[in-house]
Amino acid sequence: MTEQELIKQAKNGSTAAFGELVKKYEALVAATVVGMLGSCQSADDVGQEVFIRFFKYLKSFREDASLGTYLTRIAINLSINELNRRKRRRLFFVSSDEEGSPVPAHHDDSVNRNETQNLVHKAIKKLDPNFRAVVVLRLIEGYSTDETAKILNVPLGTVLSRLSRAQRKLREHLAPYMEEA
Amino acid sequence: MNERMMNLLYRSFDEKLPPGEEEILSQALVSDEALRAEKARIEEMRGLLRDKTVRSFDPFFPARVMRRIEDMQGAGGNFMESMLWSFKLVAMAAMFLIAILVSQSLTGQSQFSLDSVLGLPQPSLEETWSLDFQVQENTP
Repeated sequence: MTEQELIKQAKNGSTAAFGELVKKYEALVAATVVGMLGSCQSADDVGQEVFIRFFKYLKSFREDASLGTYLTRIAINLSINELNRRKRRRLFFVSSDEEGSPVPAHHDDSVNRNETQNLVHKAIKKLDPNFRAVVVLRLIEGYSTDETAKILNVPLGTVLSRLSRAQRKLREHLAPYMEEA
Repeated sequence: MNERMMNLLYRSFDEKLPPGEEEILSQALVSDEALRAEKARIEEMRGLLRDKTVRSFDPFFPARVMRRIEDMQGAGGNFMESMLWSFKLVAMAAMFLIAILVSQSLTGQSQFSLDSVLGLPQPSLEETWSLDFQVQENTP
């Protein structure tokens, strides 16, 4: 069944069709949300919220944008909201969140895929939310710079300058790992 | 490896450089080994970001989403049903109360009129005369 058919059936109330759409776009939403928030419980919650928002506004989804772009936009907005919530929370409480914890300077030969993923996510977490968003969309999701600008609703020049600065910072954070690797 | 070359190098990954700048960068890449090494590191970093990113949630994510949606739909349905039931109860209670008030108002009334149904006091003959007398007195 094509995506259009699934959307049409979901609009007509088929939860099975909606479930298929969730399965199809889980990876895309996960890459965005986990890229923005790190691998944690709140990322899973935000991921669920993305699809619940989509379900609530399914009838008003006009299909002039691709579903992937539409979900990515929701995911980015909800992730930025979550980051702002975390920031507010940190003003009042000492956070146990791992955000801001340093990237280990060395790694041993047994470094596995999960550890490498953690290193990458920790490096991304050191970036400001706006920089994170361009990194996630452009470098992780693989959107073009034009698409990234449209999703974030910022000028192309802003995306390019944020990308350049973000990559320099990431390069610094990941340098110890890359040099040894 | 100067700052300008670094800027050009980073920009070259995400935008098409103007021909002049592209030429400058190409020449610098040929002559500058450090710049070539930096380019290789950036490529490696971009590869890491692309390939080493988590692309799934915890297991059974779709099931969790669908359960929340079913709960939401169930909660919405129950809310509507409970509202409907509440309004029915209020309407029935109101009808019962009105019936009691009307029957109470009609008890002891000799005639059936709107005033008697609404329980409005009916003036006696003496009250009517006295009102008429007051009007006549106040008329110049």
